Amino acid sequence: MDSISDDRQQRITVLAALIILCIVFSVGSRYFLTVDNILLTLYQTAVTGITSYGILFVIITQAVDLSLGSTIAVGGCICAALLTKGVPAFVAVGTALICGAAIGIVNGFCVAKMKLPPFVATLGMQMVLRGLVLVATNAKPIYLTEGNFKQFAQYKLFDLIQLPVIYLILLGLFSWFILRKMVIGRHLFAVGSNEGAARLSGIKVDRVRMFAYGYCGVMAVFAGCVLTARVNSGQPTIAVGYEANAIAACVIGGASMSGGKGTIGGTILGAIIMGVLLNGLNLLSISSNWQTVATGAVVIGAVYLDRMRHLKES
Amino acid sequence: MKKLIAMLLATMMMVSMGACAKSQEPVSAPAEEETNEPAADNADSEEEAASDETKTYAIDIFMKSNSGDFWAAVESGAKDAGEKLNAAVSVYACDNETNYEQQIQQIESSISRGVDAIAIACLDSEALAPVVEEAAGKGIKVISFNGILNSDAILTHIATDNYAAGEMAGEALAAAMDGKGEYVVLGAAEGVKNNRDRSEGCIAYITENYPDMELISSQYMDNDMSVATSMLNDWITANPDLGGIFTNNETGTIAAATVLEERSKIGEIRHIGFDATVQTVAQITNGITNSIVSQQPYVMGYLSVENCIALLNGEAVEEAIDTGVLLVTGENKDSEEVNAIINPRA
Amino acid sequence: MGEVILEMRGITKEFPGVKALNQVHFAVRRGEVHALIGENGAGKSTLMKILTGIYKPTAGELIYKGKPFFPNDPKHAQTEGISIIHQELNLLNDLDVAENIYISREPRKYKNVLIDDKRMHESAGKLLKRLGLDIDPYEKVRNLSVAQKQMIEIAKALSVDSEVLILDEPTSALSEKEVQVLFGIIRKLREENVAIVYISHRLEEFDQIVDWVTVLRDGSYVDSCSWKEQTIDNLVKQMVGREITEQFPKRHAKIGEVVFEAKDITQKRLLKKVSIQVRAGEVVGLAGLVGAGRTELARAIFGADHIESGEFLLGEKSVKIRCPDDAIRSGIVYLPEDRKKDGVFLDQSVAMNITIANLRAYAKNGVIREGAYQEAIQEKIQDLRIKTPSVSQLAQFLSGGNQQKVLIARWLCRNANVIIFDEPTRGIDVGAKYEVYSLINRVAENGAAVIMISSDMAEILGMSDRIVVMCEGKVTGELNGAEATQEAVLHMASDTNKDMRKVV
Repeated sequence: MDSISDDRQQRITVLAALIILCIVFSVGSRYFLTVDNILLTLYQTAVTGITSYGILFVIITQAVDLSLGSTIAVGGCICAALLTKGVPAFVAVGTALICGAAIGIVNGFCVAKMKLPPFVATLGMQMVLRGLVLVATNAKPIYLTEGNFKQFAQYKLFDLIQLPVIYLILLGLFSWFILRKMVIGRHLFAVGSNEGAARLSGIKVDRVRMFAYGYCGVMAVFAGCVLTARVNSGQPTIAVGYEANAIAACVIGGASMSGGKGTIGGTILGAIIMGVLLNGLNLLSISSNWQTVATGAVVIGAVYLDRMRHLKES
Repeated sequence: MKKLIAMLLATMMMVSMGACAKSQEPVSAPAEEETNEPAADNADSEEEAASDETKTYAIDIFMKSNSGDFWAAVESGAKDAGEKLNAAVSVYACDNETNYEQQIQQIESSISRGVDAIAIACLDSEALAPVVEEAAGKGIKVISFNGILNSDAILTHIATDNYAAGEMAGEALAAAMDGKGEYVVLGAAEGVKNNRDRSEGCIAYITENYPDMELISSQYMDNDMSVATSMLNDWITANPDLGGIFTNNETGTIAAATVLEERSKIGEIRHIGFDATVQTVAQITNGITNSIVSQQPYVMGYLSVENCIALLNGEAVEEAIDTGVLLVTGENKDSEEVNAIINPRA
Repeated sequence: MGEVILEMRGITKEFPGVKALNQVHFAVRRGEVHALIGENGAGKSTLMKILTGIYKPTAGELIYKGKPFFPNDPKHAQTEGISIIHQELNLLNDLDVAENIYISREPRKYKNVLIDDKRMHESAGKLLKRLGLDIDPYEKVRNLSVAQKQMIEIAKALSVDSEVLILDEPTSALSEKEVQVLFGIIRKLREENVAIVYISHRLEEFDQIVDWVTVLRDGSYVDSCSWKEQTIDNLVKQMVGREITEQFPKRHAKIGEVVFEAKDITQKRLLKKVSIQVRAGEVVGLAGLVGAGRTELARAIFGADHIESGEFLLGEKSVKIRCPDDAIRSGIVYLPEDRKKDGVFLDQSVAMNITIANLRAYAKNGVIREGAYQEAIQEKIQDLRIKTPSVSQLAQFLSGGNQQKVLIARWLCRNANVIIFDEPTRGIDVGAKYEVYSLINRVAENGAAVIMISSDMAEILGMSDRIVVMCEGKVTGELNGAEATQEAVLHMASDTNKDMRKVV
């Protein structure tokens, strides 16, 4: 029952599931295993992947962020609104990211300082943010008629790899570095593993929680900016329910809803599984309603596996 | 953080002030003027009140909301009709499309003001019945448009036949694809009948008239643009011979343009969209989209007023009136007709 | 003592890769208190889990009341008359006493549809009276003390007419007085011919109740004999398989100046103007009953709980302590009483557990320097002889003693000058206890000031240079460690206006 072998076993299970999924789909559609489609799937996974890095930090601290989808929409719309005002792209994205951090810190404040249960606090935040973005945009998309911001998502490196795939990889490495190599990363695990002990070890638990939520907000907004570039517009109604996909990606990848556990490697695998599932079902022309069913089933299955792991350990 | 909150609050205030100003902008009925109306509007209505004396009928129009170009076009159609046909038209709107209580209050105050006719875009098919029947009881002519009401008091209903609109899209797609090849249909919301009718009308028309055309898939994307782009992308991957796409609302239409551009399929895959806006009409200009089927909100507003007057004049009107749809193409995209839809405020 | 009611013969239990039990014999007679002893990991829990049906034995048989017996699960064992009371109590805090005793077996009325609330509370009342307990059956369990909760567990076991009652470390969380009440109940049950299996590390208490003792070591049966024929030294030798010359190692520390002083610490109802001071190299024992405010004082000093008034002095200098981080920065550290809840990160690695409080020392700009980090871990593991297969082993798989050593290592990393140990040897086996005492001595010898809270009287008397006694949130006395006696400490620790019964 060594921790490393346990993690590795988990990773192997997920990888096996991914391979099985790929085999099924490549039998079902001859277009599945093409370079174009693989890159396209990664491209479409980027948003789920990037947001799941963020929510992983929160999950490790034994909390959850249900406001993720709304944060994506808010970030995307702020970015689009600034761009239509003629603000340079990097300033627009930067400002949006700061707003994302602020949203996260408010979430963290509600959970850490006001002692609200994360589920309730972020559910409330989800509605507040969605409402605000609808009000602010008059429920209408903000179109980017001028400028070339769409290159932020649509530009192809070497005329082959779309930028979001690169973001997915770079942000993955960045998040891994924070989690595994930095003091704050260890503190995240400590808080999620045993909050009382963390406090008695001199860790400022409130700050750690706010950091986790803040990071989650930044990742969500970054994903929101990618989406904005992708659809060349700020969509106030976009990304409803994306938190479920992000949480599912983390849990499939071995993160525990009971906190203190989770890896970036596993999470990216989880996100790819979700992406491949949707891509494959689309290729097989299976109704989007069934896709929703499949996603839900995967989420339940993954959380069930998490519970089983947890029971086995205790 | 403070900045963000301030920004959001400011936006909220601006939006809600705009909403107030607009909903309280009746052309006539100065007695009902709200006290908080901006001074500029006061000047406006005074000016119009002067011409009031020559007008015969007072007609109130109740819209579902005033956000978006659709309702702006309805409003300008109704006002233009009032001007042309010599009636005092006031237009009211609700804060959002679920606030039917507000709509009831607006209708009640019209009744007490003693207007001659009202046209309602009903927010609820049942809840408005009592107030509508009260109005009818007082001799006010009541018609509905866009949103229907289950009540005998309604004398006629003016709406877009979305199934027929779908058929028109089908015809346009078939024409663009020379009547053969594979096509897909991307809908926005399966749960909304108007929206589903568009997809179904399109598919039924093609199936009946063009045996050489093959439907690959018909799906709905919950009005989420990112879902729409993923679906279209995956369809293009799975079907290299795909020849045509019909998207049945604005979101899907814009998503299709993004994907066709990304995958360099412009011209190769024909695209018929729905809902003419500045954005979507620009896609026709850029050669991405072949044509766009559009409702005619301006016509809807115009017809509402016109039919109220016909009823007041004792003429018979049909039980249901179709506003018809407009096919926006490369030829007519700069016409006044199209401009009335995409730039209603101009 | 009556006939043998239960016999376990040649029990062997194998887990993948481990032989937890090997040919163990164990027999209990009616009306006997039978102590089962051994170091942690000796197989006591596994044996009891087999007895209550949680595990199936790999080999061997159970004879209960003369017939072979195969328990399916704890519920089955219980209906047959075998009940176990775990160290961790299984009560529902929001229900009242009677509801807890009769949970899922509530007396019914109206054709079994409704719970007969009145009858349930009446019979609970009778049961409590039979045990000589003055507890209201309508009282919410939340409002009871740990000792009282334990009594409720016993009452629960007796309500199903248990004939064999297993008590797992029942006295570890009890004060001396409460232990006496528990022993009174055990004696009463013995008179009623109940067979009692008593698992405990506290050999010094055995004189008062134990009739027979069975020793296990490393999963094997060592010996079983009458308590009266045994000596503690011999038992310890049998348990650890080696001789421990003395229970408390000698300390050669030079006691210096006052390092730390807490003045007039007041905390709502729990602490009333408590003052304590401790010198360099000194071990101050903090004695008292459970609920006397010792842990509260420690937590207040450590900044874990808020205080109303009072002052902390490091040397001559006043320091502000608002959170544990402040305390740690001032060189004050605290090893909590409840290791699993407040100390160890069970699902994290040993490495993480050792270094978590001192990560910044191995980091530059927030990034951990792998070399310095690994070096520190290796050094501590070797220095403290922490038994772990690797640094990445999860802390939950370590024994209690090794977990405690990990916690000590965590604070040794910080080079603290005031160390507060709260119940440092609770739930730790004899061999590991000695090591913990040696470690306490070592930090004192290195010049640190030590405050040691303990409910183990021998430990307090054997380890302290000075003993401070608390009672009901106040310091009630101070004794020189060398001259203190158990009676003197107990006298100061008890509120003399109350008799023993009422404490429970």
